[in-house]
Amino acid sequence: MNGLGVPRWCYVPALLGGLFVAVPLLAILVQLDWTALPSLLFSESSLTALWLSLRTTVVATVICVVLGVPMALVLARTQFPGQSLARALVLLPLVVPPVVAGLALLYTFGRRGLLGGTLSVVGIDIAFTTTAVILAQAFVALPFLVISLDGALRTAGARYEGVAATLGARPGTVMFRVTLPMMLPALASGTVLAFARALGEFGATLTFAGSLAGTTRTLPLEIYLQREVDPQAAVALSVLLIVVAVVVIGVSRRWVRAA
Amino acid sequence: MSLEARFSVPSRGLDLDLTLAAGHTLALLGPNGSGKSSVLDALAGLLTPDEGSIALEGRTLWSGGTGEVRDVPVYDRGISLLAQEPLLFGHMSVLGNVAFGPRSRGVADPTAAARHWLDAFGAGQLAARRPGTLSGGQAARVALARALAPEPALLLLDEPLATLDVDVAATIRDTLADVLVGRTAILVTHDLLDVLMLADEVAVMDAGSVVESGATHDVVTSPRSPFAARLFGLNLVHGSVAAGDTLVCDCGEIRGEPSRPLRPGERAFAAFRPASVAVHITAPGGSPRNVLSATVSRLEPQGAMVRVVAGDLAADVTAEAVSQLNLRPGTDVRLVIKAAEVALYPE
Amino acid sequence: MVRWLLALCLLCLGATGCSATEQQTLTVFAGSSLQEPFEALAERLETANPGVEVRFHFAGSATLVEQLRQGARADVLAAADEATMARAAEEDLLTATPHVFATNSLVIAVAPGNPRGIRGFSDLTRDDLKVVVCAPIVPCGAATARVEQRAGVGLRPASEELSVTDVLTKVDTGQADAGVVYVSDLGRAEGRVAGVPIPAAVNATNAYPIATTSESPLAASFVALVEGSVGAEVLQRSGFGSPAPGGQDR
Repeated sequence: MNGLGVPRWCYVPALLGGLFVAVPLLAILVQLDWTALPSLLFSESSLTALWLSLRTTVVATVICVVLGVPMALVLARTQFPGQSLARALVLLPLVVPPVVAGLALLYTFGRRGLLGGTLSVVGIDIAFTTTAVILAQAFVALPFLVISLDGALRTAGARYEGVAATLGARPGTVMFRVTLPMMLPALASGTVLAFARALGEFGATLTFAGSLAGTTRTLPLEIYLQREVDPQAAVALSVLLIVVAVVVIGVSRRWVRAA
Repeated sequence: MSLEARFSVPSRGLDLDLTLAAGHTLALLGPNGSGKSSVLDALAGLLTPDEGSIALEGRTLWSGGTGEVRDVPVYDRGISLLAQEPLLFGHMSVLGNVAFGPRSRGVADPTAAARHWLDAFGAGQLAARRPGTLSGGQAARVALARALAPEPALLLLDEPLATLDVDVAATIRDTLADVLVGRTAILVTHDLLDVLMLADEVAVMDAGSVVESGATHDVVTSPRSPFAARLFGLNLVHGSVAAGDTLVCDCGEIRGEPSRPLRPGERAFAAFRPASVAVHITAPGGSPRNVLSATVSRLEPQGAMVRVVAGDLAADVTAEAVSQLNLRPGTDVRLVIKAAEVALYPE
Repeated sequence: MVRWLLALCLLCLGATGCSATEQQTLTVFAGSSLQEPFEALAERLETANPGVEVRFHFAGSATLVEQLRQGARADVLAAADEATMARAAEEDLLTATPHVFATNSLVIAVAPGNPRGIRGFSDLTRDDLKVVVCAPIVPCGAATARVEQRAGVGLRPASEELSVTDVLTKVDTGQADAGVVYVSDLGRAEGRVAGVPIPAAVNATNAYPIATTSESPLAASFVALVEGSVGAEVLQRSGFGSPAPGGQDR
């Protein structure tokens, strides 16, 4: 393999980039007061926030998959007028600051929002509920799943689907027996990205859902709040967040490799 | 007629009229970019024409443009398409790949059908393997088995043997020859052996249209397009009949053996093998021979011989002759052909 | 793309380079609620002293102290409560003794015209109201808790927000019917939010201390400006109260 691979100078920026990401994470661990860690991590408020974060993030991720997979398929495999505009719109939540995303959700689902009035007529009031947290997380996380899957679908092309159709498979069969199994790695990485984004979601949740222990105060909100009085506690909780993310990513990698 | 297709796809430069008798295999020939693969895509339903109609076994699969609009979906056409690459589904076993078609079509025992076709292509022992672990030849066998397993009413093969070793291609070609008997199929190929062993009919495409078609034997012996002549290794000269057995062309006059009596003024072809052409520097004496003036454009190895290409014509001569005559590109030569070696036939 | 980025970088460098020439800079760390009056005061200081530029960093007081502790450079620190300022003193971040220069008290923020008819603090326990407050951990939330205690009222808020701004957003957008905020914050919501007063007897008053954090003479003159009559007038216009002569609310 000698003489193949990347040019040697690439290692310098690559190493710098690696350090740029790794050192701040290490700095968190260095800062940490390890003796106080258990009491910080297993305090009632942290556990409540963690449990809420896990529940809402899982539901938000499921929503992202249920809506995002068909979205990616329609974007990548069909042609319709305004398609590139639609593709750009899907990306908007990535560009908009999360706090503004939260305001946008307020103007839509809030009590005085576009749909809020209609919803409250049928007795649905999502203001300050866990549902609002899930909506905020799904809103900011959805583009990650759609982008990964749309990109992978377009790179792979539709040739395998074409073969499957000539063999007599209807579109539904093609989707479930050919497209999705072949896209499993992209789907998994997109799902992990969406999960990670939803887990770390802060601004939109704060603006749209509020912050009440056990109902809307997710782990990132708890971290921000703790920081006001005790930066050490905030650091400890961040470690918890990182551990959860690493475990989820690790497990899903293994699961995809096995499949 | 089993297949009747008349359609145009202006975006791909296609304007096509193609018919194929039930149970026949058609070899679709033509230079690269002449639209052969697009024809297969349109028949399978992966490419929608702008105008025309496609019917298979009396059933209209597609019609559009000015006529009645009809578009049978790809999965309901009963047409299998095997592209140049095997495109096996990597997440299924070999058996799963081959059973995919029968299962999708609702066959009672898809696995049995899959095993039957794997065995037919000598790939039964690969059933449990993953496609990623197969050699090129094995993958080609599996892909052919998969294309045939749903028992398609029309089988479309796009250069299925082109990327394989000669030996592997030869054994798969033998199997295909058996399998294609009595089956309606279209085979895109650049290989003379494929045409001779597998095809009942030949159609030659150029720039999106069929320029020549007919029974394989007729096209092989009396090609009417430069592409077919080149594929079958014949010199082809186009001109008009001067008298009885003489053809006048840009390159001079050629006498030959007419396939039927030809009328003066009639357009006709003269075909002769490069091996029948002798190369001289000056015109030899004696005259039952045709003598054409030409300039050597290049020399190519041709088995034990050297092919002398001069303009549109080719002559196969010995290496000894090349060195004796000191042939180089640019050398002016006289090409000499016995009249008995030249076939004359009408357009 | 690369060229465009480079141009942008150069532009940034150029901008910082220019502003560094011939200018005296004063950096003020201040609690978010002080933004409006402090920017007005800075303008006066800059007009009176050409060549002086005041730079502000507005954030939660605890955040400011933590940033100073981590080595951030500032000349003046103005905090929204005395406990936070005391922590800064403990960490030896101050170069002078802090003085209280203003007070702030709480008010109920409601939609303009008070459509839900909220008359006072005890109304906030009504079941048909969605009420948001600051989390007890942040200064405005601590003050709210003191009012609850004094008024003998236990609120069941729909949300305990992380900052006053978040409370205002919820009331402003109609998501909540009422919120408890500082009087000084009402001014920022410019007519989109109205106030229902909380009686002084039960209200909690926050004291705002200020101190220099460097030996810069400019720092001292800014502190003097804030504590003087001009400062008092500007602060009052933003809804702040004057420091009680007798001491502080605890």
